[in-house]
Amino acid sequence: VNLYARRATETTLLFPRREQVVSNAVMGTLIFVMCEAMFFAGLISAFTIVRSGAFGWPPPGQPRLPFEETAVNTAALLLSGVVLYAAHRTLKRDRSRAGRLLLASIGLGAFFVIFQGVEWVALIREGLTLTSSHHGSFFYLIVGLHALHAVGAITVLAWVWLRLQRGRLTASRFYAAQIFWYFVVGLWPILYLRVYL
Amino acid sequence: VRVAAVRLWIAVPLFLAVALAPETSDACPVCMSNREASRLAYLGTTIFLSALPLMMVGSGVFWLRRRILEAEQSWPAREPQPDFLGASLEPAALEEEEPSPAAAVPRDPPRSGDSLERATELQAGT
Repeated sequence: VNLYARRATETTLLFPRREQVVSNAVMGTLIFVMCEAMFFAGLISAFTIVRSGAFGWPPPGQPRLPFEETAVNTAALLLSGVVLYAAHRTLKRDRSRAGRLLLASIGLGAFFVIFQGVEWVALIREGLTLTSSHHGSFFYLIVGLHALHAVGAITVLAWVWLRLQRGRLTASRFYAAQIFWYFVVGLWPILYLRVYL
Repeated sequence: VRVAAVRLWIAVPLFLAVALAPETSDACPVCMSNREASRLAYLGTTIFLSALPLMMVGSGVFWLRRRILEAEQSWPAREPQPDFLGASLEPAALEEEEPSPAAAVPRDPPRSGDSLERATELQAGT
């Protein structure tokens, strides 16, 4: 008897009920988030190297990024993450309250994206564009891609909210959406401190 | 002997040029400056980009292993979980199912130390 085949048979007999320890949605989202983390790590590294070689930052003639104003925006995004966690804690006890909290989280996320758009318009008027300097290129690339992820995650959260309202939300889907949003929220302070300071 | 000496005269300066030249020039073609800050940035980002995937994959494997161990330790006392949270949020899934006649009969569950024959007997319900 093949030793490996015998072991496989023993395992099947001793543990006949196969239990999935992590859902496909959660596992898939985790792998996606890992890939995205490496993507942003590459961008941050490139930015760090270019900035270290520059004589003065921002480059002459380029506007300074609005660090103070964006602090409000950052607070809104972090609060959105906290509210989503509160929604998760409430979900099993009070579904309607969880729905309201989820909606508040989506609202705070939308506020972040809209505020970013307003900030971009002001910066473009001041002369900071994608082609004006390394400063502008990196700013719009890194912050823009983060905003794109934020829009994607808000769409997913809105879809989760709709399913919750219809009573068709599964825990794994909610968890997957949460992971995506926590990634967007957790990444922002790193980008904010690295790019804006 | 003469040929060897000529070769040595060529090899030594060539070796010194290769060994010492990078000290006085920008060795990396993508370097935009030879400042100390730039060198440190390269070093730091190389460490960061090398360590980050290892940390992420390591954390993932550790977390998965912990979940598998938890599932194994709680078996068979715990029912199979319909979802990651331990309960589906769908109202239909929360309703209890009728226990099957086979499930109603208490049985000694097979353990990891049991032999194959013993496990087969338990599995068959004999």
